[in-house]
Amino acid sequence: MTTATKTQPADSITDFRRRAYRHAVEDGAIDLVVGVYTLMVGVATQRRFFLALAVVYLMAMAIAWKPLHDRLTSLRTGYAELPLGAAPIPLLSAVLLAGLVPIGVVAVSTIATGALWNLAGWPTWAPVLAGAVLAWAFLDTARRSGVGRFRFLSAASVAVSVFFWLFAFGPGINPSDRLTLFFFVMAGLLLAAGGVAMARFVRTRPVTEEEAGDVR
Amino acid sequence: MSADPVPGSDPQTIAGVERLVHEPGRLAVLACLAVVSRADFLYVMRETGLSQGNLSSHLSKLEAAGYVAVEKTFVGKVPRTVLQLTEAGREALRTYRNRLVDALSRLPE
Repeated sequence: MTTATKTQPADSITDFRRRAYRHAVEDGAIDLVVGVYTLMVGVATQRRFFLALAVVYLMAMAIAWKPLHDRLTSLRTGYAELPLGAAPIPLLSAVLLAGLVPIGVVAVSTIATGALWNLAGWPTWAPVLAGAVLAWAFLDTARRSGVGRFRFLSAASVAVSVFFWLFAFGPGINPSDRLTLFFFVMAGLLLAAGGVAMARFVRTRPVTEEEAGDVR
Repeated sequence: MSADPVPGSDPQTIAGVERLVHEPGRLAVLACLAVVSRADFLYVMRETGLSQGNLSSHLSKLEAAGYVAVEKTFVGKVPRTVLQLTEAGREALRTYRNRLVDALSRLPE
């Protein structure tokens, strides 16, 4: 008869799934990678031919995330691969969508004037579209992983996008700059959040001296 | 005073859940591996809360039954034991769940 272990009570599959997702995002590596990609998409809102390469950049970022994440976690909290389609591709895809949606809406609203992406026709609320997409993606990540900082990023997406919609900038900032600046600020927040998360993770999760155990 | 037997109840239905899967430690290991593609020994140990020796023992049994595939690799100079739930393991977990749900539904209130 098996003696009771000192383990916690049996967890549901949902708990294991949430903890697996938490394992993928808690080290902060995903924030850094998504932050860099957000910067790229921000530049692409000014130099729109870069958007054509955005999918390539997305895959490059997803590939770059894996070794960074493994290096941080494998000797501290172990190594685990989530099924295909889990972090970081959904977040990276959301950033790309956040860039494409307002650009697409602006294209539709300006083409009628006969000058595609004419600055005079740019709606100032374009950043709000981007903010809504990012807010949803961060909230979804928070729900899946239970990691609180993604709720903060979700709220920040909304707040920053509304700011860049409503604030009365001077003539030096044109309507397309509002969208670009929104992405730049979000990139900065992501990089800062990722840096803080990574520093805390490294400080609180010591490296194990050797791989624990062996299958006999 | 003994309770009247519940029509359709059958002790064999409860006894029929696979004991290999039914053990709480092994069930935790299978559940942990069911939600990831692959994971290493350290990850599973942390997630299940099992001790090193306990987990090794459970993994030996699960590997012998063909429910978990064990691969020993190196990452640089650091050994890594990678674990993966096999299709047979997924099926065993699925069957266990269905039988347990069925058995529990037949228990008297």
